[in-house]
Amino acid sequence: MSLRDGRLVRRLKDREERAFREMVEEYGDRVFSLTYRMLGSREEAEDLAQEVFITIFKSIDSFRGDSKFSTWLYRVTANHCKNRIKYLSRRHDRDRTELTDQTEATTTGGPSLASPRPPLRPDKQLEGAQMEQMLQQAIGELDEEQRILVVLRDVEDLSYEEICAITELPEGTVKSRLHRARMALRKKLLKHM
Amino acid sequence: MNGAPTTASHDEFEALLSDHVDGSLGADEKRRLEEHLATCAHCQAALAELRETMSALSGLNRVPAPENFDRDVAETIRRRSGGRFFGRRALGDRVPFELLALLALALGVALYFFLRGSDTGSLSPFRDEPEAPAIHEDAPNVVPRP
Repeated sequence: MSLRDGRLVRRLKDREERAFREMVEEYGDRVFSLTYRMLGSREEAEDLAQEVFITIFKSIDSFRGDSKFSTWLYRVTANHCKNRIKYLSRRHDRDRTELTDQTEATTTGGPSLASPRPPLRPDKQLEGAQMEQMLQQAIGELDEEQRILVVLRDVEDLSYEEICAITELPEGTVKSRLHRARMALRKKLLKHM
Repeated sequence: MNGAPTTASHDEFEALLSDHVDGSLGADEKRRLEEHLATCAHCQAALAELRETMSALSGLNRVPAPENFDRDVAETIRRRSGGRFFGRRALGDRVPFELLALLALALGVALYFFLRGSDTGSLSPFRDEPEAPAIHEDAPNVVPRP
């Protein structure tokens, strides 16, 4: 842990509000970006990023400095993201079931609620914002274990060493899962394009 | 047998593509893969698609946190904790009580010895009385006559 981070952690343990603001200023974009890439929604990402910082502040006394502060912060963020994805997935399934039941009871036709995404336009060259949207959608279709590896490695550009420390997985496991994730993503993008 | 790669060998080589793009393949594996790629259009296409995918991913920019994000988080903490979360904690919260008690004891002992050894201290049990001046017989009478 760097001296700067060491000082910051000491001040956080003293519950200095100014230190807290400095931490959010320093790491806010990284945490928000990760939550956004993992969840694909600004609202959810902002809410979750807030939860991450609140967790960090509440549990700062348990941080012993065995790893870099940023690694610990990423680990907390990754765990929050995985939990939120599971929660949203359960909620989505439940809502969809309820909506399907209601639809079956009240209508006989109309668009299918089971496929709410707008149709893709394979005849058009996707660029810029469209490409980003498509990538974000493809990332969102990966399971949470694959998603976190793709985002940490290929979007956030973290080293394998850091990713292993964050995920607490051996390097071989990270590499093989990441490979499968990349291949799955490639197939999804091909399908969309 | 025509020597064309089987599906099994495609899978085997595809598994190396990620490490190849990351530049983390060993020398032997790299040579084997490159030899295979030179003759296999299927794996060449897979490599090109993988590179394209990873390039697109690395082009995703970091998304900045919303404006006033730090203020919002601080506000949430304050609201949830009823304003008791922030603020420097008292010394006793940060330093263990045992350490404080030990320090207080050491300070007390040091103070005791300091006062005991001091000329003006009130704890010295046998403080020396000042000696009375000696009166010599041949000294002039210093008592004034009435």
